[in-house]
Parts: sequence; C-alpha cells; structure tokens
Amino acid sequence: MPVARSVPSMTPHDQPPDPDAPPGPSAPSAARAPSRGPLLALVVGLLLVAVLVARPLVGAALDDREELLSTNTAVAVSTSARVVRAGDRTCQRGLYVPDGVRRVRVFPGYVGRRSPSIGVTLEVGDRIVARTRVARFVSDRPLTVAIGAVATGDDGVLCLRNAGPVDLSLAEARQQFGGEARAPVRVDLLGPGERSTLAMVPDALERAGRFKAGIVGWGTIVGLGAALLAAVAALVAVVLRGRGGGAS
Amino acid sequence: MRARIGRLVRRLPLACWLVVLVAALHGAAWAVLTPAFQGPDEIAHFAYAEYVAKTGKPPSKASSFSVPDADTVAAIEALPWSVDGKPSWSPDADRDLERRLDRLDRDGVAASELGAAYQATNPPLYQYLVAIPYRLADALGGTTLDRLLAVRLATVAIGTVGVLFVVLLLRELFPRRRWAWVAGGLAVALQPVLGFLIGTVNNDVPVLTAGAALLWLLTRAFRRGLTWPTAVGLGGAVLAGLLSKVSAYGLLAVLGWGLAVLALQQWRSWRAVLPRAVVAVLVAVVPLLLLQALRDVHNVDVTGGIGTAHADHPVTQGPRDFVSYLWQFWLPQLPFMDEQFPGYPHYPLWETYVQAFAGRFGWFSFGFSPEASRTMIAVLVGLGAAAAAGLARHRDALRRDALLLLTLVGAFVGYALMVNLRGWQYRQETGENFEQVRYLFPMIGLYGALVAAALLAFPPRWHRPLTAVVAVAAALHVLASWGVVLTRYYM
Repeated sequence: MPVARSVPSMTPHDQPPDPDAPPGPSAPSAARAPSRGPLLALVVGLLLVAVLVARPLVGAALDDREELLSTNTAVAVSTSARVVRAGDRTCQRGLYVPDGVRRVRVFPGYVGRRSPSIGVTLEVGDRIVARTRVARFVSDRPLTVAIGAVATGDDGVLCLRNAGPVDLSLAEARQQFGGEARAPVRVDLLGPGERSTLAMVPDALERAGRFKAGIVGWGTIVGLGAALLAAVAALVAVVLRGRGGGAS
Repeated sequence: MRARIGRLVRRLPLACWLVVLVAALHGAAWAVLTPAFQGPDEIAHFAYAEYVAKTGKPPSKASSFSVPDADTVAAIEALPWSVDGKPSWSPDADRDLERRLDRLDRDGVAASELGAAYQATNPPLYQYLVAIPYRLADALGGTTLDRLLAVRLATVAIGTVGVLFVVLLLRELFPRRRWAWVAGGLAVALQPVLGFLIGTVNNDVPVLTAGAALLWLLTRAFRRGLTWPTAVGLGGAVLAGLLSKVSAYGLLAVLGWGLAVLALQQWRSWRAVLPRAVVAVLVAVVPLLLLQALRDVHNVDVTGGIGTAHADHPVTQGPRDFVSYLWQFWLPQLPFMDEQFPGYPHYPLWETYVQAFAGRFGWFSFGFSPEASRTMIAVLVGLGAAAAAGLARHRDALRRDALLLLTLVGAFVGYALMVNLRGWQYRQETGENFEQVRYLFPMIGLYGALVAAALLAFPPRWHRPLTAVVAVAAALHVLASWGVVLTRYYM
C-alpha cells in the first residue's frame, strides 16, 4: 500500500490535459489561426545551432589536412633503448608502406631543445628507398622529411641514426604486458599533398572497419550511423507533429 | 511483473521509445567505430570479463599491469595499440591478425588471472552479466575481437536501460509535459561521451544505469509515496552499482540523503515510511556485508581495498586540506592556499569536467580543441540560466516540489563531492589525477532534467519546436565527435 503523501498526486493519469498538447485528430485544426511563435522558435533555434555547432563542423570538414597514408606506433624496434646515443641507430620495423608515400613524419620526442643531426633511411624489402640527413633543429614539433617516391611494401623499416652531438630521446617508452619497456618511433607516412577532411572520410571509414570483429566493416559503421540519424529524424517528425503515441 | 512491464510500455509514448532506440543505436555506432581496446581501461575490463566467462569466478589477485589471455595480447599487439598512437591500417596486417587469432582459438587459450590487473579490485556483477554474450560469441566461433564486440554491445544494452530510467525520471519530474521527456531524454541519449562510454567495455556503465534508476525511484517516491516495491528498487539500484564498481559508494550517500529528505516530506506518515526506508538501506547494504564476510570464499572484496592498496603512500592530509582541494577543484586558488594541482589538470573544472563533457574519447586522451570546447561553456551556462528562468516562471509548482528539487540538487552535489573525496585520496596515494567526467554520469539524468527545465523558460507553443532544435543540436554534436575520432584514428 502506498504511503500517504503530503503533496498532491501528479501522476500523468490524473492531471488535466497537457497545455502543450497539439490538437487531436478530430480537432478542427484548419479553423485555428496559424501561430508564428513555434516557427520562429524553430528558426531561431536552428540558426543558433548553425552558428554554434554546424559552422565550425563544416569548417573543420572542409579544412585541408595532410593526407596520412599509414602510421605505426607500437611495432617492434631494433633497440629497447629510450635514448639513442650519438653514433647509434634505432629502427622501427614492420612499417606498412602504402602506395603514394612521399614524406615521412617522425616524432623523435625531443621537446623544446636542440636535437642532434639525424640520418633517416627508409627500407622496403632489403632495398633502401629513401635516405636523407636532417640538420640539427629545435625539436618542439615532429620532424617531417620528404623522401620522394618509394616502393609499396608491408615490411618497411625506418631507421634513425644519431649523427650527434647530443642524445636523441624517443617519444614514448611503454611497459606493456609485464615485458620490458619499449620505445617505438612513431612514424606517419604522408601522401604528396593535402586533402579536405571531408574528402578523406571514405578512406577513413574503410580503415575504421579493419582490426575489428568479423561483422564490422565500413558498411556496418555507415549503416549504424545512418540508422541513428534516421531515428533522430523520425523523432523530430514525431515531436513536431505532436504525435507520441496515445494522448499527449 | 509482466503486467507491470506491459503497463510501462503502453504508458510511455512512442517518442520516448524512439529516444531509447536512439540511445541504443548511438552506443552501437560508437561500439563499432571505436578501435578495439581504445576505451578507458578497456583491456583490463575486457580481460576481467574474459576470466569470469572462462572460469566462472572472479580473479583472486590484482596487479599493476594487465597480462590478458594470449589471443587478446595478440590482438592488442597487432593493432598496434598505444594510448597516444594511432593504429596502422594495413589490410594485409588485418588479415594476418585474423588468421593468427583463428589459429590461437583452435589451439585453445588458457585464462589469465592477471588480465584484470587493477580492475580486479572491483566486484564482478558487470563481468558476470557480460560473460553471457562473451560465451555466446565464443560458442559461435568468434575470435577475441568478435567477443570484444559482443561484450561492447551488451554494455550498450546496459547503458540503454540507463537512458530508459532517465526518461522515466523525466516523466516523474514533468508529468504533464511529454515533450520534456523527449527533449531531456534525447539530450542524454545523444551525449557523445556517454555514447562513447556505453559503446566500450567499462564498469562505469552499470553504475550509470544504477544511478539513473536511483534518481527515478527517489523522484517516484516523492511523487507517489514510498511503496514497498519502490523501497526495494531503491536499495537494489544502489546494490547493483556497488556490486559493479567499488567507488560507486556515492550512490549510497545519495540514497541516504534522498531518504532523509523524503522522511521530512512525509513525516506525517512516518510509521509507514520508516520501515520502508530501512528496508531500502538494508537491501543495499546487507548483501555487501555478507559478501565481505565471505570474501575468502569467493575472492570478492567489496571495499576494493580502498585505503590499503597504496600502503606506501597513506592518506595523511586532514579535512582542512580536503576543503582546500575541493575549493581549488571547482574555483580558482586563493593566495593563502597551498597549491593542490601542481600538474595536470591546471584548471580542474574546465579540463576535467567541461572540456571532457564536450567530448573526450579513447583513453580519455583526446577530444575537441579548447576553442571548440568553449562552446560547451556557453551551452551549459545558457541551459542553467534558462532553467532558472523556467523554474521561476513555474514557481507555484517549484514551491510544491521544493523538497524534491533540494533532493536532486543535493544528490548531484553529494555525488560530485564523493568523487572529489576519492580524487583527493587518490592524489595522495599516487600523485595523479582521479576525477573524470564519466564518474559523474550516474547523475546524468539531472542533465536531462536541466535541458527540459531550460525549455520551460519559453512559451508553451515553443516547446515542441525547441525539442526538435535540441535533437538537431545533439545530433550535430555526435557527428562532430565522430569527426574527431575519425581524424584521430583513421586519417
């Protein structure tokens, strides 16, 4: 038995009709004078949303960005050192080098200090496909090296040789699964130019389908996204038409 | 019971069920979009579920590093995975991984007790729940990545139930305004961080659902009186939260606070209220005490070892330091205060809660730019101001519901305080930051209520169009968040 209340009951069933309720199916809606209030609310609200959310969203989608063709962060390195001494070399193995790579971006991990001079080589198979040397630089941002055309392959090796005179710190050392700490060299393999984010979405969706459950592919992702937007659209329609099932 | 559920289904309008559907689709979309093991602590959470699914019991020991089963390790290493890195997208590597996982499954993989690592201190209710889809996916011949998706989708289902509770809460709060159930429910269902979280393997999700149920039932008790089923439900909600995550003890504080104010409201019928309130507390607490008494039998420590896990760094500061910590978390540091946040976060409220509520994903390591996140300040301030105006406009109802409002505001403040209390302890134990916006999600129903209350500031005929605006804005927020994730991982 419910406990006696000190406040009036406010269940949906014993309330007067919803003052916001739209006219029911038999209501003489045609006889009602149209009100501009709701339309104005909708327009003003959507304009606000357009300024706050849609405009930056469209701007970001149309912005050009470097085309990242592949990246590797945690594949094997030839050393487990966190620091590469002058004269030493460290290599990032197992890089996937897709077609069209023209530049390599490396994150050596020096922040705000003068880096050493670095020799960079990229091998695919047993062949060195790119070799360059970078003078000392203030390493507060990643090092991007143009390497020209390279062969495609799944077994790329990127090596950094510290030409001195100071040590080269690596970006990230992690101990994983109880093993020894490893310091992978994060490497981004870049295409020749820039494309808008929007133009890259199909590629991104295709990539998003990989390394996942068997039923997941780009179609699954797009399908679920579309289903969500369709459900939201249906909901908007239901709300605007004032139909929610049953009396309002 | 079946009749009650049937009545519930019939009473909720179609639009509310569409909100629940939106929540499910939102979570599922995040579950397939987010790379494997890129949810916060997802490796340890999944490994915990994996161990429970394989052995039928929780792990008996915790560790600092997660050492999951061999096939899970193979998947993680092949992604490749790192907190700050991006996966490779080589299709050949993808096929190689699939073949390798198939081979490992054929050979059989032993259960690793060290996979749950630091998550092993949590009670296992959530893991027992998601062990069911795990075993189902296993029986269907799925690899570890298939099983991960199955567990993620089960978590989506748990989170979706939470959104249903939010809708029910809004129905109790605004019984005459069906648009409010939709507007507030949708704001929650399409909150991108919530969608992301329920689309990963994480025991914060059942706590979120338990919190939403608790707020709904408390409000129901204020509106309709504390019935026996409501009392049992209140205790059950708290118990479910505490059996999923040890640091959910804030739910117990909310229950105590809510029952105290309820007793004040219904003091004339104290003879009926008191035994039901006691039952609510007993339902929440007694099973925990029994479990704790038998912890040597089943390996479940419901205290999670809080206070003993870091014996090298005991909590030494006193209440005065906690007040200073609390102040500096929410407000700027005053000159006479010792600095409590020397490193990250520099501006705790902004970085930990506001920026993260705008959108923070992966291992909570990336999100919108600070510039974009500032929009969230405008949105929250605007919502707060409009809600205040809306409540002032309906001050008669507000006066009638003052104690309920006090309960809900107090619930949020108290819960946030409990999170800060744990954060203060954790900072002393480890020197690191604890608070994250997801820990406040058990109170997410109040965000829905805020959105609905904000619309009350406008004339009644504007409510439906503005509900549509809320839907459009929330959907765009989701699209922008997907853009952030796509660029982070896949571009």
